[in-house]
Amino acid sequence: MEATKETSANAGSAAETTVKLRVRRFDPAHDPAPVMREYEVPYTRGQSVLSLLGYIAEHVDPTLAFPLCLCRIGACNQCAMKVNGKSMLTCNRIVNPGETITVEPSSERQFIRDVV
Amino acid sequence: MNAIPVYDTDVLIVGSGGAGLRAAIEARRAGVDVIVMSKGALGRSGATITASADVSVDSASARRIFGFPGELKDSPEVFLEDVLRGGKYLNNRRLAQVMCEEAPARVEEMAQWGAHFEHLYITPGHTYPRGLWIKGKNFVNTLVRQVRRAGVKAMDHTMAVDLIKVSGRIAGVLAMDLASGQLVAVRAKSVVLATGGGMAAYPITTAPNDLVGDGIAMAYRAGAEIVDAEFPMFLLGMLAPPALVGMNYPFALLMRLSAHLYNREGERFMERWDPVKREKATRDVLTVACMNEILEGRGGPGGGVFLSVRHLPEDLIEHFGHWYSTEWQGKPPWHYEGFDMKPFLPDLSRHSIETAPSCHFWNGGIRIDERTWTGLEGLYACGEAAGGIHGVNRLSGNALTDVLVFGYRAGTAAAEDARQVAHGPWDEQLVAERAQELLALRRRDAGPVVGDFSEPMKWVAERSIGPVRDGETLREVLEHIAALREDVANVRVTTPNDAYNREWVQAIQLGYKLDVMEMVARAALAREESRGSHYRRDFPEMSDQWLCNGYIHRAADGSMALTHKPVSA
Ligand SMILES: Cc1cc2nc3c(=O)[nH]c(=O)nc-3n(C[C@H](O)[C@H](O)[C@H](O)COP(=O)(O)OP(=O)(O)OC[C@H]3O[C@@H](n4cnc5c(N)ncnc54)[C@H](O)[C@@H]3O)c2cc1C
Ligand code: FES
Repeated sequence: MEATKETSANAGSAAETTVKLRVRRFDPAHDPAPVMREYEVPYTRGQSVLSLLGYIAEHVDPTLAFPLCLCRIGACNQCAMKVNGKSMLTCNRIVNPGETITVEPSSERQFIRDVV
Repeated sequence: MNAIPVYDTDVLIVGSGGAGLRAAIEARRAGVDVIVMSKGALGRSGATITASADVSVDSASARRIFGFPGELKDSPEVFLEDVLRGGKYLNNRRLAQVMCEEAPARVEEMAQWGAHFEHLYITPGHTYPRGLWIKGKNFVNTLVRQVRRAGVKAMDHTMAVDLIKVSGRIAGVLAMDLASGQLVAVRAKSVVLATGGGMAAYPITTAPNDLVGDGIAMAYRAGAEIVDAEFPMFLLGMLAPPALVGMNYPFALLMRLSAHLYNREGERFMERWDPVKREKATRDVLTVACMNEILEGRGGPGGGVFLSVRHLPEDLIEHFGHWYSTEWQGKPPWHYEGFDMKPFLPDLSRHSIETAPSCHFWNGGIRIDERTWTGLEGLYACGEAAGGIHGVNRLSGNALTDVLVFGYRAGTAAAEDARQVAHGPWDEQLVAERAQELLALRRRDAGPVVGDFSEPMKWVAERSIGPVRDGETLREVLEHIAALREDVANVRVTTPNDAYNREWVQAIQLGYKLDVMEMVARAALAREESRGSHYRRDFPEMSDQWLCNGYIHRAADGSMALTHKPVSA
C-alpha cells in the first residue's frame, strides 16, 4: 500500500500536541488498490476516533467517506471500524495525545468506500 | 445521464425509527406491498435507537396489563389532562386524546411481540407513575422483528430527496442510493413520512446528527402545513469533551451530584433566577438562564457556561457511579448505552466543563389529522416528523407512545388509501428535471462549498432560534437566512466519487436546514409572548391572546407564509 500524507491547515504550532490518523482510502470504482492516507490533526482531551473523522471531513478533507447516520452513544453500531487492527465502536474509542491510529473498515463484505 | 430506475410499491414509508417501523407493520398487515426507506440502516438510524427509554401509558392500564404497582386513580382522561397542561394548552386536543386512549393497546401488543418492559416509574410532568422502562434497543428490535416477519421490503442507506407530486397527488419520491450514488424513484399509491425531527439543524443536539428535518422540509415544499414550528425543545448538553458534545446524559448525572453552574465571572448565576433552588430549578428555567448568560456575553470560550463538581471530594464522585449503577440497568458504573464514561472522570471531577442548550425534540412538525393525513392527497406523517400532539412541551416518555399510536394509525390509513386507488399518473419529465438539479451540484466548478456554511448556520442557530429569542435579532436573522439561501443555491460538491458521497448529501441537507430554521424564526418572531421552550426577552410573559397555533405553508410566490388559528378542540 502506498502512503500519502496530509496535515491539517489548522494544526497550529509544532509545539501543540497532535494525533496522527492513518485512514484506509479506497473507492473500488476508481482506485486500483487501497491507500493509507495520514492526517495529522490537533489533539484535544476527550476526542473519540469518530470525532476525529468528523474533524477531518469538516476541516481537512471533505471527500473522506464514513457513515452519515450515527448515534454517537454506543447504541447503533454503525460506527464500528477496525482501529489498529481491532474491530470496535469508534464513538467510544478515546484518543491519547501523540498517538498514531490506523482506521480501516470493519468488514470487507459490506464495504462501500473508505471506512463505510 | 442514465435513466432513473423506478420501483413500484403500494405504500412507501420514509424513515425506519419507531414510527416508520410501526407504520410498516400495520400497512403490511392490511395486505399491501410496503417499502421502508431509510437514510441509515433499518432500525439503526434515527432518535429511537438512542432513547433510553420510557414509554408512557396511564398508570391504571400499566397495572392491568403488566401487574406493575400502578395507581388506579389514573386513567387515559387524567393522562390527557397532564399532556395538555405540559403542552401549555396548545396541543391539538383530539390528537393528544387519541394518544392517551390508544397507548394501552399499543404497549400491550408490543409486550405480546416480546418487548421487555422492566418496571413502572414516575417521570417528570406526570401525576402518576406512567413510565414503562424499556431499553431503546429492545424497543426497536421488537419492531424490526415484526417488520421482517411481515415481509416488508427495506431500502436501507437510501435518502429520500424530494416528494413527487403529480396532478395534486403525492405519487412517490425521488431518492439517492447512498452506496452507489444512483438517483432512484419510488412510485407509491401512498407515502408515509416518518423522518423524525429537525434537531440537527442546530450544531448542538442530543440527537443523531443526520436528523435535520428532511421530511418536514419536503412536506412543506410539496404544500403541506407545518404547525408549532417555534417550539423545538432544548436540554442542557455538553460542549466538551469532543466525544460527548451535545449529550445531555453526563450533564444530568453531574446535576444529580449537585453540580454548580458558573458564568465567566465565576458567579453562580442561578442564584439570580431562583435564589432557593438554584441549580435544582426546573429544566426549562435552567435552560433559559444558561442561554441568557451566554447571549449576554458571560459565557466561556467554547460558547457555554461552566458546570463543575469540583467542590466535592474526588472519591465521593467516583463512588457515585457505583451507588447509582442500578440506574444504568445492570450496566457497569459510569456506562450510558454502550458508552463508557469512566475515561472522562478525572477531567469531569477536577475541571469545569462548558454546557449549553442542546436541541432534543421537535414538538412541532407536519400538520396531521387523527388519521395522520397531511391534507395532501396520498401523504401521511407520523412520529416526530408530525406536530400538534405535544403542544409546546412533550412530557417524558410520550414520544415513544406517540410513535406507536400514530405509527399504527399511519400504516392503517396509508394502506386503506393504497387499496382504494390505482397508481396515479407519473411525471417522468418532472423527475428527470429534479434529478438534473441534484446532479448540477456536482458539476459546478465555482461556488461555495458545504464547509463554508458551518459558521454562518451556527451563528443563526445559536443567536436567535435557541431557547432565548428577541424580535430584533430574529428580524436580523431572517435577513441572514435569505442571504444564505442565495449562497446555498450555488453550493458546489468537490467529492468526485459516486459511492457514499457525504458532501453531496450534506449539500442537499443545507436546504432542509435553512427551511426548518426559517420556520422556527418566523413562528418565533410572530409569537409575542413566552411559552414553554419559547422565551422572548422582549415579551417575557405568557398571554391568553396567544392561545393559538401557528401554521406555516409555502405561498404561491414561493415565500414562507404563517397564519394563526385558534387551538383545535
Ligand atoms: C438521546 C435521546 C433520548 C430519548 N429518550 C426518550 C425516552 O426515553 N422516551 C421517549 O418517549 N422519547 C425519548 N426520546 C425521543 C424519541 O426517541 C423520539 O422522539 C422518537 O424515537 C422519534 O421516532 P421517529 O420514528 O419519529 O423518528 P426517528 O427515530 O428519529 O427516525 C427517523 C428515521 O427517518 C430516517 N430519515 C430521515 N430523513 C430521511 C430521508 N431524507 N430519507 C430517508 N430516511 C430518512 C432516519 O434515517 C431514521 O430512520 C429521546 C430522544 C433522544 C435524542
Ligand atoms: S455512533 Fe452509534 S454506536 Fe457509535
